[in-house]
Amino acid sequence: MKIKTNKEEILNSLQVAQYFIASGSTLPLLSNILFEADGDFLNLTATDMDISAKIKCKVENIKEEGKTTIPRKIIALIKEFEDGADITIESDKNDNINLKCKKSNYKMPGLPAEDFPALQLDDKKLESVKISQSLLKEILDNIQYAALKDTSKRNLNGVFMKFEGNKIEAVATDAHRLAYYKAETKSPVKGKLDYIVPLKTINEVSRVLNPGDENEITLNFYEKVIEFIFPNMEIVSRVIDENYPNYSQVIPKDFNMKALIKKEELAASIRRAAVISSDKSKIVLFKFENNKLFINVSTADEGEAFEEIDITYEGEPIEVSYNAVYIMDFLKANESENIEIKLISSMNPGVMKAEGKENLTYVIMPIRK
Amino acid sequence: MGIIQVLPDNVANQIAAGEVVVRPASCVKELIENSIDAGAKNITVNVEDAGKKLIEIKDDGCGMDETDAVNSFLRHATSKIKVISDLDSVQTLGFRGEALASIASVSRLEMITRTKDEEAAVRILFDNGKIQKKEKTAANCGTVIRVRDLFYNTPARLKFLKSKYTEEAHIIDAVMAQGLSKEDVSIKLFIDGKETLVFPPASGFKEKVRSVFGTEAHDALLEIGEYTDNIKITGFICAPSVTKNNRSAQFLFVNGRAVSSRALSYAVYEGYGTLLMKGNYPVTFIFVEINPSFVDVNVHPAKAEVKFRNEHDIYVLIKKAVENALHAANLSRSAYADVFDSAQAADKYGAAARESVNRFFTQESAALFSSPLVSGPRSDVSFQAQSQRREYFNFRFLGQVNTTYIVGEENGSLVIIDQHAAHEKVLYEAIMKELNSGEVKVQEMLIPEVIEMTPAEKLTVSNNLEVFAKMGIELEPFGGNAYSIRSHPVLIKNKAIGGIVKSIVDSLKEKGTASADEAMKDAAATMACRAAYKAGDALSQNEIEALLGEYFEIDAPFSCPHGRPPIVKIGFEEIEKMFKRKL
Repeated sequence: MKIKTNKEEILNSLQVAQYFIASGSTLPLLSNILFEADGDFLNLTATDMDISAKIKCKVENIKEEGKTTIPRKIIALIKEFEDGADITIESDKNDNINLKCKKSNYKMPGLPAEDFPALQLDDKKLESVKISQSLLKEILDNIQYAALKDTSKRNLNGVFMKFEGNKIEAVATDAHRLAYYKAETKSPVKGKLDYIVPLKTINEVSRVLNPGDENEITLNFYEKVIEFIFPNMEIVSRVIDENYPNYSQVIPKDFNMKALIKKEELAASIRRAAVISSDKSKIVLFKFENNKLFINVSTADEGEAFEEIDITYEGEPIEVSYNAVYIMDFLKANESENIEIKLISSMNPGVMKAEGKENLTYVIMPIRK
Repeated sequence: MGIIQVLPDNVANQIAAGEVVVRPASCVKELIENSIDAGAKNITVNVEDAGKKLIEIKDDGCGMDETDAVNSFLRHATSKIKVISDLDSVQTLGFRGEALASIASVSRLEMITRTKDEEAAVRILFDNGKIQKKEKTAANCGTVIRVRDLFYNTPARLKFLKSKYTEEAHIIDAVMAQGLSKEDVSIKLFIDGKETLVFPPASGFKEKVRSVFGTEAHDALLEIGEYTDNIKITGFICAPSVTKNNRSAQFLFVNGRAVSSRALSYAVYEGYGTLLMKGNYPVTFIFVEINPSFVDVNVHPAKAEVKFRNEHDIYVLIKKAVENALHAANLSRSAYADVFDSAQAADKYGAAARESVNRFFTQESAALFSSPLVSGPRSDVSFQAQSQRREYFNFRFLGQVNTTYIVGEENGSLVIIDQHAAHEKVLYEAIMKELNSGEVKVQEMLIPEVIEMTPAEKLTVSNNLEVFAKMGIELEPFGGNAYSIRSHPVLIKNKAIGGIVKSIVDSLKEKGTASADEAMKDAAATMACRAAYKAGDALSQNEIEALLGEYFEIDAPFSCPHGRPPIVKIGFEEIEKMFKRKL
């Protein structure tokens, strides 16, 4: 393989690939990036065997087609070359890599491309669906923070996605709180499909998605794999082959109290109140009464915080405690001006809604004292 | 002089009983083995008051005629061997002829037995070292043994029995081992009239596992099989997603006999390699079939241990069997490594990598790249702990070593902190503080987590429900042996609670702790250990800062709940000596 490229052309693609390289793998191949020069394009592939990304990169000149794998340090190296410089990357039949840029000349050992463990797709594609980048990003960014970070319970360490007709439902939960988003696509699927997509995949896909872009990307569904097709990139990920909890039965439908709150005021009050406690668990007590919300954080020996906010409130006075982190996660994830809190009692799950986001529901379990 | 006397039989039997029958569970084990040796297909075990009041074993085996029945109470009376050389080929579970005599010597024993050729059954009551009553009666073919008032005449033994539920747990474990060992025998266990354990007949081994260990274990089962000319290894192991934190679920059967062997259990462990985390033990059911002349079962009166002529061969074979099964399930390298065709392919990558590295790097250049001892961000952040512990007032954080130890400087001394032990200590103190003040903050679960247990574990839970409740862990029966976890302390935050509760159950079961207070401390320590950072967790500077801040706040930070030191300080003098600047 022999290619000539401009520094910026290849560096952008390599930096995207970097996110998908396995960290701390015992297999040297997984620390490498697969280079495939073919026709007009250079394809770069990186994988940790759960998720793999193939990035299509336009380079100035492919002098000799071919493929090889190159250690990840090539990224750090190219970053150090002069901006705008031309770089030549060449590999011989023993996968010895040679890099030239102006008067610099570097050699490093590659590994055979044939052995690179590409994530295999199952033979049979079950379905595919098209969805705009901006919508998918909106869905994922509004729920992904609620997924469980602990990998020991796998079915919660991901985002549940269900496709039926032209409806999409997406759910993330760590068993204490749950975020739910429903939306519609233009192209319907036949029948019903659901997947638990690993959180890592969701994070990476969301990073690649362009928020303002109305162009559609394609999602291909296989038995145990899901594929995201972007214009210049393909991401393939395993799905988590386990049962997802029955989320619809934990989302309350009827409420006794309803509060409309200015989001920024609430966030600022909680941020201030939380400072008082060095506790591991930041617990905030909410007291709703007569169009007022009183916020209290109290500690045994570090002091106490009181905040008061004007709100619009319907219902009997009520006191309820939450983990401040769970509340803040929701407030941070959306840009709405007002939020709504709907409650049944101080023991039942409460629901938070963001103004203008009818499709988003956040459910949160209180703390008992 | 006449000081040395031959002991009367009943005393000799009582002494022998001390080795064979150490607790009600061993009595159950011996009697089930007798039933199995008698060809029984259905065995029912009834236990009252943890076996102290009654142990009843009913079987449909071959039974005995009157002469055999009477002789069976004599010590070393056995139908299974005649001369010592028979020991080399013994195929039955029992052979020492000690069990019945021993049990009879420490209890009031009743036996009803009939062979299919006899018209009537014989009923024998045995007490106080001799047969008290012998009569004809009507009964089905087979044998019923009722052991009443176990250890009534050996008060010392009775006194050393553990609590009711500990003994019951041992009985369940004993019946479990026997029930798993024989494919075609159906065993039922009733404790105080309640059906506790059922091994349905001919349901297949995997179904047996499901009925006792739950669906999670059943679904993770992998079949193993390896053999040489003399040894055959079969059975099942669970994928590493299902583990225990003790060896209680590692079953080893040698020629159908449940035994324990440290060496062979280590072979299993080795087979799993790095797939198991430290402190996690696999769930395995391994059957070794071996020419009886290669194995000496006569090293331990209860036959719980055996000696092999060729232990190393078996060791190697078991390890291989485990490795192969895990490999076949594509679990051997990464949990999801099924993109690889085989281990050979993986090895090829390794070899190719090494080769090409050798081609390029001379030794000098390799040395240039060798990693520094201390990695991590250097910063001048001082943790100004506001506590009384002025000693560490000037702690300056230097870095994290091998993602395991936090290193810092304090007034010229080098301070090394074990991140796991320190965090464990922080959590333990926080949990105990909440417990002692009676103000445990409890996070309710939106989606309760369901955990499956063995019958013995379930018993542990039901005996400690109050301990769990006080800690804020609300457990609700969820059908069968399952529980659903409805809430947990806020302190353990984002860790999956199921694994933590299981560890607490394992630990409570193993210790059989007497007082609720001790159980609580133990549970708090287990919880802190499981929820704490582990060695190998890469921590951000913020996390380290927060951890050290809390750690130096603790009143007595110098030992973790398990007694290991979380912090080591090397004085400047000592460092100087290391470098021979001072003597």
